Amino acid sequence: MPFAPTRPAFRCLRGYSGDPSLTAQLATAMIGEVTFKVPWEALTPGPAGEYLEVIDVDPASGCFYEPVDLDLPNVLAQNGLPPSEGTPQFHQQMVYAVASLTIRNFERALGRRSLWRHGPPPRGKGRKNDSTFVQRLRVYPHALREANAYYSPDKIALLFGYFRATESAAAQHVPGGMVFTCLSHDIIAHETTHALLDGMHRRYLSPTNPDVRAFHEGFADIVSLLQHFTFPEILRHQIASTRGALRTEESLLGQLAGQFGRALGLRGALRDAIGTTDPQTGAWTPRQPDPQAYRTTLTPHERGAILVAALFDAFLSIYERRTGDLIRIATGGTGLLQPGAIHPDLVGRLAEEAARAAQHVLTMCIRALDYCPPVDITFGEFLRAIVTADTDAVADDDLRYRLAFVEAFRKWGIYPRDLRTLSEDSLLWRTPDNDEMRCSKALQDGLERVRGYAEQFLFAQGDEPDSRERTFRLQYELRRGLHQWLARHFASHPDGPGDAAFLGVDPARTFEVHTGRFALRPSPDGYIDPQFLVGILQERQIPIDPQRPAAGTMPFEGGCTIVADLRRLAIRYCIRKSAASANREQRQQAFARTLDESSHATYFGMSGPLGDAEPFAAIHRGL
Amino acid sequence: MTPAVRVRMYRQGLGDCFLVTFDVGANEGHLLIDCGSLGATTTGVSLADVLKNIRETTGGHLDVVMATHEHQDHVSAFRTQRAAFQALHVDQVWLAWTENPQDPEAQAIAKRRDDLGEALVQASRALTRPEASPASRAVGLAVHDVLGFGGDPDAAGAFAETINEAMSFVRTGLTNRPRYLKPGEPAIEEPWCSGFRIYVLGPPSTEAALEDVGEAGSSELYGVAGGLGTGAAFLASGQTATAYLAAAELDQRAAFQAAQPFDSRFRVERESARAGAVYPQYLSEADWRRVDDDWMHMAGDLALQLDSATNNTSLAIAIERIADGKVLLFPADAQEGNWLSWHDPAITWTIRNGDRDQTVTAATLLSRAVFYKVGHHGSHNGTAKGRGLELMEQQHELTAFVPVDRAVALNRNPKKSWRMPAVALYRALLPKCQGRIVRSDIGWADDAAVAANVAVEEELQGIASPPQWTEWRAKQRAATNVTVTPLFVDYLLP
Repeated sequence: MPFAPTRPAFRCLRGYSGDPSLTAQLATAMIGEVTFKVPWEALTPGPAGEYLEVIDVDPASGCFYEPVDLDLPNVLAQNGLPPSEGTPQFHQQMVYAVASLTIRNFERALGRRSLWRHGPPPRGKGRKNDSTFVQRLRVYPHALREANAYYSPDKIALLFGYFRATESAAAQHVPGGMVFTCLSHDIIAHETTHALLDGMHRRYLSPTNPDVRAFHEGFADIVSLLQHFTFPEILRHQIASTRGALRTEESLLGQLAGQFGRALGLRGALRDAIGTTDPQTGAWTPRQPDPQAYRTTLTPHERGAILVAALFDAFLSIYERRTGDLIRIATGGTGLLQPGAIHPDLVGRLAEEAARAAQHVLTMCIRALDYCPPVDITFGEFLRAIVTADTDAVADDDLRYRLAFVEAFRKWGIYPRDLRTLSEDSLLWRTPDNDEMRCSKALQDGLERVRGYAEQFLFAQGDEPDSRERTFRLQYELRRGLHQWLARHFASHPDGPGDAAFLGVDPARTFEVHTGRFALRPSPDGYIDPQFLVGILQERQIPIDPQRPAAGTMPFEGGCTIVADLRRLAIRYCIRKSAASANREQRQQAFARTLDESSHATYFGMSGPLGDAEPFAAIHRGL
Repeated sequence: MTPAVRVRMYRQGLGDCFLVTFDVGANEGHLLIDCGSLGATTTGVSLADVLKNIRETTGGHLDVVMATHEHQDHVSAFRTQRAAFQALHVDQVWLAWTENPQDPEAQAIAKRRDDLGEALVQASRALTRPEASPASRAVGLAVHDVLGFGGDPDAAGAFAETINEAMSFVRTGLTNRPRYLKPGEPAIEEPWCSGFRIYVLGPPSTEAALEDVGEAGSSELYGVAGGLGTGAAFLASGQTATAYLAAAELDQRAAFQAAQPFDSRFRVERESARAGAVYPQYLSEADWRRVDDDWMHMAGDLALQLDSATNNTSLAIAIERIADGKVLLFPADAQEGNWLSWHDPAITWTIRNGDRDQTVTAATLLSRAVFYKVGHHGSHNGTAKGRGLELMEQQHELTAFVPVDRAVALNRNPKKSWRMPAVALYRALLPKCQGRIVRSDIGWADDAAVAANVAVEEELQGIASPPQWTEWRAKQRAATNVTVTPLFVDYLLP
């Protein structure tokens, strides 16, 4: 038998740590390139693997570019192609590597395999049929010729653009030179996160309140920011250059898309979580929390930036708490560092703590997605989801992580609606014990029929080639089964109508079991908690403007996310957005009328091919 | 005696044409503001009818002709009715500083605008080619129709040629030396409009304000023109890249190559056997995942921004009657950046009032407005809110004229989506004027439920209650200084 070594765990691929502009400056040249450690998988040229399929078509130039084969010995032997702006094959490698890392980080926090949004309905099926499995996210590194990149939910694809930098832009790139969005770590991570989030919560595309689109943007930004902390070289370099003071000094760690921002003629990065750059002088100052901003800022990116600022603030508080002792040790208790460079060992320890804190915060944010309502998310509800999910996972919050989040959100003026106080325990989602509504025992007992699926699901979560598809099919079947049972329960069981109200739906109307998933979570007492997560949705048409029937109608959705404990067969939380809520209906109508007020709506309408196609394209355009 | 002034709004459809007559019935002076139209489905009034009336009313003599900005709906008659204009005697022509061929900044703006316009024409052609997807075709048609303001997207020659002809006639065909106006210059007081002052409010003199169209826009509006135009021209040709380049002019070829992101050696031609071998899935699969035309969909937003940017070059003026300080406001199609720039602290006027100097600001003028020519046909962004409408305080007297033809607007692509007047603005303006709003298409504003053409007015139904309308109708009847005729609507400030 010939010697057959085991499969490697990682594929090493070189790439830009931020974007090509870092390698062009002396101060950052040595950290401009990194080697990404991407989970190993079988690939075909493209690259195309389990989750991703890179297709390098450049329609504006009327051509393709030869796909890279990452398995070629010449490529494998040098950890992938060397970074190069002028070689399309390196671009393919770069998007593949960063998108894969983002997926990997997301899955690690979530504890299960990610699925993309479903494809279009099979021929002959209704518009709402969601049974088409799409294995791979398409990645088009050169699809657009503009300063834009976006995730297309319709095509289940990432489209990246290239463009010429503005003539006026400053020194760090050739004025008028070509800038590629597919070479920016931050842009790739951001767009990939949109796709991952959409795969979990596909109704977060409907702008039912000003937070929804902003949440998509803010969430994509925070994932991409926190990913900076997974690269030890940059982290150490930036910790050294800021002397560990991440909150008060300008650093690459808190900034997104530097080259892109500067190429558009901005003085600084596209977005900055902790500071602002004066457009005239280029001087950087840390940003003070603005509790008014949440009430007055309505455009998705700027509003999303408030969420990012709050989450990043929480991260910084945690980092400071974790490193307070190190600083005291290093300063003989004064807490005041000597001028000049700090000791390399201290840099190393601070970097370690920063990386750990970032990982924890990322995990908390991603895990919270399971505890979010299926529709109409607000920042305040996200905070509640973070606090509840973390309380379930970590009983002993000795470093007071949750408080750091609550405080950061308070500083930024983000309060959940209808809460009397902003304390940790009031933020927890209501359990059936303290909820104002109760569900029947029959509904809880119904969970038993779900257990059977759980087992199949557990074994579908391997890394066999078809495991994601099996998971998808299983979820589909489960949702159908559950829907049949619930419909019967609502109609014929004496507790049916009460349970429907508990679930936030009207039993007389059709509803959908929107999602059905399992999660295995390590519980604080050391057991594994098998959880069952269901999203139930109901949609009805309401007038946009009750006084003006001609203004047309729009969908109004309600329902809930159920978090159930499969071991105890008990509903733990019912995160409800009632379909009968008149207040919410009014708010949504008022918000819809403001959306109508734009040039786009004036000339192109609100729906149809120009109105609501490609929700992310226009949001991202030229920012 | 206080001199009277009359504003005559012609009813030639979707477009502006206003004749302002000073000292009515005595020593009359005439100012013509714009003369253009995109069509008049509702009234059927033609530009020739308008010119005939101008001639009769003025005795063939106009003191000033003003062309506010380079859009067909404001200047088309300066091309199509040239002969009629030549028969008139015009003393002065007033244009915005952005139209000055001697001003390098104005010329740079014009050049970039033309380049982008050309690129968008190419994009609209490429997007409407037969094999394009329905979504792409919809974008292409919409771009085509928005471009109709700034030029002729179907012209065989240059896109902006018709507009350029009209503007060049305004510059040179009426008098030999136009006057280019900038905000901040002293208020105009001349014998032909004795008893009145004319203040120039816009267009702003900074590029940033010109590009502020009041919502998130592309910060590289003009930068994309090169790459878009050359790629779209190639796709619109329907040829393979090789064939297109072989047939192309030298500069077309150079532009095509300059827009490419990589050296040509990396190209795998779409039609080649190699492309079929390495990307069979892309070439053979269903349309839903392909991205062939998506890159051109940005043309939709770019066309809107180009349109808005041109609107921002509007020559906006306020006319003040010296005796009582009442103001008539003509913002043309100014959008956010133009409106806001009026309040630039550096822009104030010092006027002599009796024996002392008095400082006038845009806010002063707005607060004294009794007549408002509604900006941009009543669309959502033609009237600033906080720094515009809310500053107009003369509710008991304020009268607004909206030059619009809703039927024409709704017939543009995509159908039924151009909102003129916009609901939110109409809703805010009606109480502000206590119902005294006249639209050039239907006359006095009225409840859409009783409109002659219910389908056209449908969207406006229910913006106010029936008793509210009854009250407003009474105010309209009381406004005897407004006269509605089939050809025009007159407003008289006696």
